Parts: sequence; C-alpha cells; structure tokens
Amino acid sequence: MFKNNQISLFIVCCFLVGIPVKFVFSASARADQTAYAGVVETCPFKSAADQSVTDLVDSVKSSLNQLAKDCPQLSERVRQAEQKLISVNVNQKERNSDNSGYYSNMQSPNPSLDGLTLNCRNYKTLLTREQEIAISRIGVTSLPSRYYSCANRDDPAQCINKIFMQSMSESSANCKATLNDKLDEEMTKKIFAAADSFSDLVRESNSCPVTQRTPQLLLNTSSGFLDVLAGVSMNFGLAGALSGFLAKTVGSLLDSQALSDSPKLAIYQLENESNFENIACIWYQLQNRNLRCQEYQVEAVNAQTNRRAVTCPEYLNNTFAGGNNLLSLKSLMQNLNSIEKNSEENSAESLDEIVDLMKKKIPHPIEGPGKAITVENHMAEISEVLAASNLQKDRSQAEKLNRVMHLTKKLVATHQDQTLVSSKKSAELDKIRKEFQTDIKKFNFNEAVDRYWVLKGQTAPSVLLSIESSLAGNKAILNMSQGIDTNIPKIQLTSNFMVKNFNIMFEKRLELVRRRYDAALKDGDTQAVKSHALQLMNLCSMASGMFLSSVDGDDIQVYNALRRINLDKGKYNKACSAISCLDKPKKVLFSSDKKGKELADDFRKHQCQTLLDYDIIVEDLNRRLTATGAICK
Amino acid sequence: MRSVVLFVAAFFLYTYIYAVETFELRFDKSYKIEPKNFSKKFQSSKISKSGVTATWIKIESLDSLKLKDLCVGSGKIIRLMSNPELLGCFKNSQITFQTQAYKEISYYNIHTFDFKNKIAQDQIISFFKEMKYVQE
Repeated sequence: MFKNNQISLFIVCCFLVGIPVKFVFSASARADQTAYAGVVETCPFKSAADQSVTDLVDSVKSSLNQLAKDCPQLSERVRQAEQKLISVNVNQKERNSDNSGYYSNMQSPNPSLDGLTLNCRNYKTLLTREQEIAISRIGVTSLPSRYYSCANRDDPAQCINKIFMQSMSESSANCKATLNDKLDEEMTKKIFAAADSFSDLVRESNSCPVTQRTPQLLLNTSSGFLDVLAGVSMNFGLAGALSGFLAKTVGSLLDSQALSDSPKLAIYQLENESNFENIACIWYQLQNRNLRCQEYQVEAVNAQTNRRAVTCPEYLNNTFAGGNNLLSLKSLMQNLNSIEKNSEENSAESLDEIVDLMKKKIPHPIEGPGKAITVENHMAEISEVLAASNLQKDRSQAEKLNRVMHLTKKLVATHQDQTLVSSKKSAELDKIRKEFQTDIKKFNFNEAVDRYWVLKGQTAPSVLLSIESSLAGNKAILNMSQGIDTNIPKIQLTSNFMVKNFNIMFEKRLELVRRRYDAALKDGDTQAVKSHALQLMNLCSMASGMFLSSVDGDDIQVYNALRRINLDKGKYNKACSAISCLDKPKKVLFSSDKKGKELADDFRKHQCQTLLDYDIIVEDLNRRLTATGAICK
Repeated sequence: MRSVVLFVAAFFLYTYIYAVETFELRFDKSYKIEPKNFSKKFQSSKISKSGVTATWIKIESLDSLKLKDLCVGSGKIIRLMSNPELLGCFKNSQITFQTQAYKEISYYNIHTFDFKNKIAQDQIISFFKEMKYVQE
C-alpha cells in the first residue's frame, strides 16, 4: 500500500524531471488536502468529494445498517442516529429550495465549470473546485481567469488562496443579502442532537465484537456522518458552535476499540483512501497527457465536423408533433420564407403554424432529452451563442436572426390584433412584410445553426460526438488542459517512474475494490455495490495504462511505458473481468490483436475515446446496476 | 547511492514542510502532527507536544465566531497570543479560537483543540507558546 517513502520517491522523480509537485505537500492553504500536480482538474477518482448531502445520508444509512447487523445491541442507537440525520437533511433540502441565483449571467471562467451558474446553493462547491484547479495548474498551464493575475506572483498559491477567500466572502455576503441565514432554534437542536446520537453510537460500539469489517464500517459511517453535520452546520453558520462536538467525536473515534484494535484496517486504510485518490488522479493526468488525448479530442471533433453536413439537416428535419401537422425547424424556415412570398391571406396559415411551432417544447439539441426548451428559446439561444463568437460574421448572423425573430413576433402580433381596422392592419402587415423580406434574404438559417453547433462544440466536444449529457458532465474531456503539451518528454519520464513505483499499489487497490464489490454483491448492499462498481470501472478503464504498460528498470529514461502495451496482465484481467460486459458505446476493456507500435496506437485511440465516452459508460453502468443489481449478470 | 541520498533528502523535506506549517498557523518541530482527515469537510489531526495530546479540528467558516456566546456557562475566554491578538474559549478541556489569514477578508478558520486529559489554563498557554499566527 501507499507509504511515505513512495511519496518521497515520487517527489524525487518529479524533481528530477522538473514536474512542479511542490504544492502537493507544501504548506500553502488547503494544498495538503486537495492539490495535486498536473492539469486535469477533476478526475473520476475524486468523485466522493462531490457527493450531495442526500447521497451522503444514503451512504451513512447503509453503513449504519451494516453496523447494526454486526452488532444487534446497536440497533436502537442506529435507528436514532439515522432518524436524526434524516431530520437534518430534510431541513437542508427545504432550505436549498430557496436557491435564487445571483450572478445570473455569470459563467464560470474555468472550462470545467463552464455552463454552470453560481448561485447561493453551489458557490461554495464551485469556487472551491475552481481554486483547486488553479492550484493544480500552477507552473503547468494557464490559470482560470479569476486567478490570471496570480500567475507571475512570487507565491502564486498564496495569491490564489487570497482571491479564493475574497470570492467566497463576497458570494456569501451576496447570498446573505437575499437569504435568511439565521438558523432557527429547532434546527440547531436537531444538528446537536444528531451529533450527540452519533457520539453515543461510537461510544457504544466499543461493547460490540470487532469483526473484520467493523473498523472500515465505523470509518465509513463516521466519515459520512461528520461530513453531513459539518456541511449542514457550515451552511447555517454554525461551524463555531459545532466544532467542539466534532472534536469530541473525532477524539472518541481515535480512542474507539475497533479502530485501536485494527490499526491497519482503520486509520491507516482511511489515510490511504484519500492518498490513493490523489495518486490515482496524478496518474490519470499523466496518462492522458502522455497519450495526447487533447490532440485526439481535436482530431475526433474535426472528423465529426466534416460530417456535420449530414447531421445538420437531420437535426433540422427532426419532427415533433404539432396539432395535425408534423413540425420541424425546417418547416419553421419554410414558413418564414413563405411569408415574404405570400399575400396576407395565404400567409395567415403560415403565421398560425409559426405561432404553434414557436411555443413547442423540443428536447434540448445539445443537452439532451433531459432538458426541454421551446423553439423560441432555442432560437434565442442560437442567437446568444453567435453573438458571443469572436468572428464578426457570426455576430452579424446573430443580429440578423434577432431581427428575423423580432419581425416574426411583430407580424404575428399584428396579424392577431383584433383591435386594428382591416385597412390599417393590412398596411401594417405590408410594412412589416417588406422589412421582413429584406432581412430574411440576408439571413442564412442553415449556416447560423451550423455555426451554433461548431461554437458549442468548441466548449463541449461531446456535443459533436452526439453524447447526450449535460454540458458540464463530460468531465473527463473538459478537464483537460487547453493547448498543446510542450512537456511530453517530462510527462513520459514521470509516467515511467509512476508505473515503476506505483504499479503494485494500483494492483492491490484494484484487487481490494474487486473484493469489496464482490462482498457488497453477496451482502445485497445496493449502495455499496453502486459505489464499488464505479470505483472498479474507473480503475479498470480510466487508469488502465497503469496496469497495461510496461517498464524495464535500466532504460527507464529512454522509452515510454505507455508505448509498451502488454495485454497479458493476469491480476488486471482477473479483477476487471467484472466490467467485461460494459460495451456502450463500445467495449470498455481494451483488446487488440496488433503488436508493437500499432498496438500502442490502438491503445491510445481506445483510451482517449474512453475518456470522451465517460458519461455514456457511467450511464450504461448505472443502467445495468438498476436493471440487474450487478455490472455484469 | 544517488537515489538513496535523494530519497532521504526528499523524505526529510516532506516531513519538515508538512510538520511545521499549516495555514496561517505555523508549528515548529516541537509539535508532532498526524493528519487524520475523518471528514472531507474539515481537517482533523492528532497533535502532541511535550507529552500533551489533543485532537485538533479546523473548520473553514464565512461567519465569524462569537466567542462570548460559545463561552457561556463554564467557559472562560483566555488570551493565547498578543500580536496578533488571539483569544480562545476554554471549556471542558477544549480550546476553540478563530484565525483570519487576511484582516480585510471575512474568511475564517475555526480551530478546536480537544485535549485528551483534563488540562489547566497555564498548560494550554504553554502548549501554544511555540505556535505562530501569521496574519496579513
């Protein structure tokens, strides 16, 4: 497992090759908790940090029930703790419902946070994530725009932390101006009662027989429980009052019999959990940079762009029900064009259809069926995206589209206006129609839509690959650094060192995760199955280079381990057999009958495409888990 | 041989950096700090000095700590440091205080040290004697 000397050796390796890892363990604020070298800002191995309170509560409930199963005399305490935790979460949910956004037009400056609007509910998470990203980018690549000014400072980390604190403080002040941050007495009591019930549970667990899994269960429960309490109390400005309770609870955990009797399974393992996450993330970054997945992404996008001529008409022709007619964006354009040609009488029908069509809700063409949008709003969105483009031509198209939409509305309104006398209405309509004729001729709808797709594609390549996921969902790709990597030799060397020094640790972790997954299946613990299945999938697919590449001691500095792919890896194949059925959109486990350079090329293609497909793979995994209770049945 | 020297150097560098500085509080080598991190939402460590051991937790907060409210009842407000001034609430073998890295930014760290054994006020003051609080 992971030890200090391995960390040190890794630091030495990185010093040797010039990778700036100093912030990983430096004294700068927060750095020891979250920062790691490299450029991939988030990684699948750190997903636990993003758990919602509800997920956490579910996970705690699951661990609590297992504790009660092992030690029946704890059942009553478990029930009490569970109830109290739920009551805290219910209030939290109610409170979160009032999450009126602020900075409503503000887009996060960081690519991985693009499309996410800061509001009173999410600013802590998003600003914290962005600060982590900024720290991890120091000396490697450009900083998120909020932190640009820190790049050339003597101590960029300190500068970043200062700006972070300032942003948090300002956001908090903004929210306090609109939200009632006062905590009612009842909620205070509930939080303290939950803390109390958990302390009791820990104390009483000392009288239970210690089974092999008790320490881990206790730690899982504690970690989740404390996270819920800390999260909720901090949101309520209760951190000061609760800190004493938390310190007492942590103290009692440190003294608990289960943990003190099994140090290897307990604190040691907990420390390794978070350390492993960090190491896995560093590997994830290195692997993806080594394989030049950024370039692969561009290649993939370009290939798709060339096929857009085919996909765009399909998108335009896509029909959705509208009364007796089948409506589409293409029919919208035909109707718009017919207005200029037809007389008032003939265009009346077209206008009615336009009104009908504008109000129709369609699945969002980019964000997928989960988000419905009216045609009218979609048009506005196209215009907005074009208006934000760097190209004058796009901005000009945006103006024209706006003008066409404005005149259409005006035309429809005039047409429907019953107060106008016939002659006046006719004159008004003629006037608008003339303006319309001039404007619509200058406007090329197909081109505008095509540019909209291209522009959206630059920030979310998944769009062009027809991945129906939320804009920010495709983290694996969005998290990659911008620009071409100029440090490839260093990246290769560091990858070699990592494969050499951490391969055994990764294999052991993989075996452990597989054992946990199998045990959870056996216990019928749905939550645990889900969690371990995701970990297994992440290790087997996202970190596969660690297992499939080869190093040779003496010439470690002259070749690239990730160009030496060896598919004959018994432990990896055995542990990952559990995910062998994952095949959406293609087989997740790598296989190839090629050799040498061709095999390495195949692996690169497979690995980089797997990153692009990450959301679909997770979706497939969850679908299988829901349907059958296991990844592969 | 070279790699052994580098390894040892890196190990000491790591140990040194990790042990002496944490956020705006700086601890010298007389303190032994073992991070535990029971929670992702707050930092927890075991800290000891000259045979005195405490569980230390640090919570980041956007709200300032109301020391008087916290110290109501059996608590006592004591001065741990003069420049910058650092006051803490001493209650039930715990001391809780607040630090602020930048005077002008309302972003605080709330620290609670829970001492394993019953501890007197002068022992508390002595415990924090070698701790530095750097505020800008």
